[in-house]
Amino acid sequence: MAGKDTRERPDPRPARLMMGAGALAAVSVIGAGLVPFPTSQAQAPTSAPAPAPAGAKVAKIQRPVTYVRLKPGQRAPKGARVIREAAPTPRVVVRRVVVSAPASSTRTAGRSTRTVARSRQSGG
Amino acid sequence: MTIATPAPLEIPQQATLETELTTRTMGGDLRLLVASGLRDGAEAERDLRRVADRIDAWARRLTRFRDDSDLALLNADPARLDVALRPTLAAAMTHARAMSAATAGVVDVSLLDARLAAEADGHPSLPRVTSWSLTGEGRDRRLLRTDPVRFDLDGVAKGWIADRALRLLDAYPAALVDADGDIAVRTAGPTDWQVAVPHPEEAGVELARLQPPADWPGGRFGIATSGTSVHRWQTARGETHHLIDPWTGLPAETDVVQATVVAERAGLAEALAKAAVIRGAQAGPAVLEAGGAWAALLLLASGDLLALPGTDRWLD
Repeated sequence: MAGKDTRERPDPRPARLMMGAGALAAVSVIGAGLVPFPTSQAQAPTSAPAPAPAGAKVAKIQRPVTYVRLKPGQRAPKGARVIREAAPTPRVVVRRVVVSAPASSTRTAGRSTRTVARSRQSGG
Repeated sequence: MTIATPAPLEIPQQATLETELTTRTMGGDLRLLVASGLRDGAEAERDLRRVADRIDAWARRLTRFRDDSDLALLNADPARLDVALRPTLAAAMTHARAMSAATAGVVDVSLLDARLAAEADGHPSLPRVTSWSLTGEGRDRRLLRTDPVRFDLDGVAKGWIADRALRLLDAYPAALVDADGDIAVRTAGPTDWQVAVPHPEEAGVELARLQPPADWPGGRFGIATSGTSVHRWQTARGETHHLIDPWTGLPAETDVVQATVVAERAGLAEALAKAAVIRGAQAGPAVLEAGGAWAALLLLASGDLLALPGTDRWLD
């Protein structure tokens, strides 16, 4: 082998410092990118009314909605929006009774009878 | 939901259990009643609830007051002259055709526009003839229109529903379906069940009580009532009602305030009762006899009560 290599090597410390600083900067950018977007729940209201121009009159507009219950046979005026009234859930009633069975095959005077239904005009 | 189950203290020797369900559907009252063995109450209640659900489903398909009903869809485009019908509407329209035939054309479900015209302002609509028919069988049933008519099943549907629901209760020895006043009944023999006919204008007054004759062999029958005293309103032409005369297109001018009919089926009784009111006291009885009415009571505007021959056998 020839003699000892006497060339001077560059000092590595400044380069290491630069790389460390670069790594820190990269981690910082990644961390900032991971910050979650603000959700709608967290958003502050942004629809504050714009201030009226000076001298302008501010009028509050109201659109009254009138509800009319149609009677049977009535029709809504032209252009009116018809909505169906929510019908209540029908109430179901179940009843049980014990009764004597008809005793004879012929109708006899004084035989007990019971009204179990009424035939009437519908809706009446 | 309320369930009341009274505990019987003394059970008679010849006893039966009656289970009754009442609710609202079809725009009116529904009442179901069955007789069963003493131990079959829970099963009867289950069956009645199932039948009530079926009735509600049928009514939702056949009403003109729901935009999504089969009938409303049929009416939505009257210009469509050839329309496929879903099974429930097909069956109800088939029944409607039969009722038109049984009443010599007096009962006509294609008069919706005449009725709406009568409700709106009393203006007359043109007299017309029946302009629709049915074709095909089963699930291929179609309705053919020759004119852009619209339909209103109204009481015709209620009678049909009462009969169809009663068939679902065939397992019980006796059953009754009261579809808002149109009543289908089946008994195994003589029964103590009666059907009252209230006076339409005098609260608490009964015109009659109807009951199968003493020699009733058992089977099915129907009782229905129609009239002009409930569905009435004022127009520029005066007070009027909902029963349209198919020959004039106007509310019928009639001297019959109310008709109650007993027939083999509730649907037939309903159609005949309506026809009797529309045709009046002179022509009505002939329509009733030709259509197969077993008994009928006509309350006239004069206050008189007119009974079809044979009706006395059904009177208490």
